[in-house]
Amino acid sequence: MVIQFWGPRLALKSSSFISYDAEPFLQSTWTQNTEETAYPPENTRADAFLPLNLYFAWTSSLFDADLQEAVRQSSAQILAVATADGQAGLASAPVYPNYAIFDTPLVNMYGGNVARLQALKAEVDPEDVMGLAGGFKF
Amino acid sequence: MRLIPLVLEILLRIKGEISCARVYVFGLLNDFLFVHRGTFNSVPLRELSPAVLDAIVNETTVSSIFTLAPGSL
Repeated sequence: MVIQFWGPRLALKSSSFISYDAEPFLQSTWTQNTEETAYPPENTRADAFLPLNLYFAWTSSLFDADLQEAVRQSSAQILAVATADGQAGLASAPVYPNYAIFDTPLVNMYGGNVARLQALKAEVDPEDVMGLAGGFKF
Repeated sequence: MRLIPLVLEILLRIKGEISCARVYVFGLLNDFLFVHRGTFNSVPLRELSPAVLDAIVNETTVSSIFTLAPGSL
């Protein structure tokens, strides 16, 4: 039985489309260089998690909280199904920064690299110019 | 060219709201300017297993499935 859950529910909240985009990463993705990188954290480079991207769109700011909560619930549901299906370590896997929801804690993406990244940020951007832009803040 | 003032107006209206994954202005599709608010979220997976695919279908109303060939992005 196909439930088709969010489409009809969110249409009443000005949703214009929702999409789930799977990008299969080769298992060798993170083995192509030997230099340190911000993402993924060092202890997770052996696992090339594919970053399933959930993308919800709407038009009215009245429903910002509803749509953000919906995308969180949908992510949690898929995570639960994948875990129950035998995929291990997903809950602690690094979240792909390009697709992470806006308030994702830095440690959930960059793991043990956060302190070093914050130190680098303080060194190269002491006046917080990048704070004027969007994106995650170190 | 006539769409440039419209794009600028929209950008001015949403200024201050632009933060990570909050507001997007999409490009032009023929003469249609597609503007919306949006958010991403990501689920790390080891594989796109049949159970996960079923879960995705059950989460949404599937109207179309796009498959991109390797190297097309």
